[in-house]
Amino acid sequence: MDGLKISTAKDLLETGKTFSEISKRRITPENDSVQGKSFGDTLTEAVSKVNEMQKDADIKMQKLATGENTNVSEVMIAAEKADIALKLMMSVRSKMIDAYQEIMKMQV
Amino acid sequence: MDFMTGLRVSSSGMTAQRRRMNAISSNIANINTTRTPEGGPYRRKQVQLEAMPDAKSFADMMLSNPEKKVSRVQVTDVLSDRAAPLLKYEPDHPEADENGYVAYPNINLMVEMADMIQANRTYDANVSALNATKDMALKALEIGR
Amino acid sequence: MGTFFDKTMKALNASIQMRQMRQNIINSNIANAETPNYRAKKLDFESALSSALHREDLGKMHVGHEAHFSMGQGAIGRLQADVYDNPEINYSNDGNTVDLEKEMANQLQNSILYDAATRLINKKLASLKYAATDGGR
Repeated sequence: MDGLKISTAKDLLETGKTFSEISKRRITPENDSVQGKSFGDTLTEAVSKVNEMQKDADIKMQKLATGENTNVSEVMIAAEKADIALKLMMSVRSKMIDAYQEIMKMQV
Repeated sequence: MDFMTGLRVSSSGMTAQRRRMNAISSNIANINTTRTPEGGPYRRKQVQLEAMPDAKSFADMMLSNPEKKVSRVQVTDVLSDRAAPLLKYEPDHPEADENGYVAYPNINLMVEMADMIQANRTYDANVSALNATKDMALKALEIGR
Repeated sequence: MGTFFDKTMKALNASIQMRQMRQNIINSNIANAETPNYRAKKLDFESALSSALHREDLGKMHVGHEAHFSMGQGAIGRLQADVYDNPEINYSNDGNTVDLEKEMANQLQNSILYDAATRLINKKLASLKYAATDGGR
């Protein structure tokens, strides 16, 4: 897991940023066996996507409140999407915390 | 903002239309009445409707907020028609005057029927407004549930 | 309480309050649909709310007037509805300007948008609750 250390896990959960940018520079493509995006990047992207959906739903709700946009179904769907995205992220977070705790329980 | 205002206003509308229906029924029933306690033939009754601001107290009247513009409707009077009665030539009628004319009420059945349909329609509209207000109140109760 | 209300919740809350007032005005118009010389009234809040939403991020220090409903601080809290005689005159013999069908249509739209605002506030509150209780763990 790129950049995901025990000491950086708390920061990851709070801000969605990891030190993967820093640590990736030290891992060169030859000895990096993990292909594609790093886990930290995926997480960051996911969190910002959830944030975007929430903001989008917010704007649509404001437009509905002022009567500018009377497309109720569109607003409902956007709100529900944002909700589900948030719940999904929460459950991923819970799983990660559980996994971390499992690892901590391991006798060294 | 309470819902009682909306319910009060709509129910005042329903009451007004109901009393109007009463006047119309009275008119239709007495379409041929030639004698009344006041003397003379029956005169057409009409309700006088007036819009009154729906304020609960004098203090409310003084507030310059949109609540003041909400008005109830009140039946302030039941007026008797001042039109002259219809005179029909029936010299053998017991009510005939010296010229043989009998005074009948000046009531047109078609006009009364039209008024009745109108009163019905407005009553329905008021009921629907009342239901809409009630639904809003119930929905508000569901917030946070 | 004010710290939990973000801009969207304030907007939805304002929408709910304003639509209740609009329903009262519509009720008043329908009840007085037969009253001679009664002028139909109209309540506007959309443009005021829209500009308040833009101004909401500025001027958070003002205190609202007591006669207004407590919708919190800021520009939205000072929102005032505009009630005036409907300029779309519906001519009739007795000076009454109420168009019953229009009032019913307005009432329907008002109801639907009120319901939508209520549901959305519910959704937002539920999601806040979910986050606050840590997802039910």
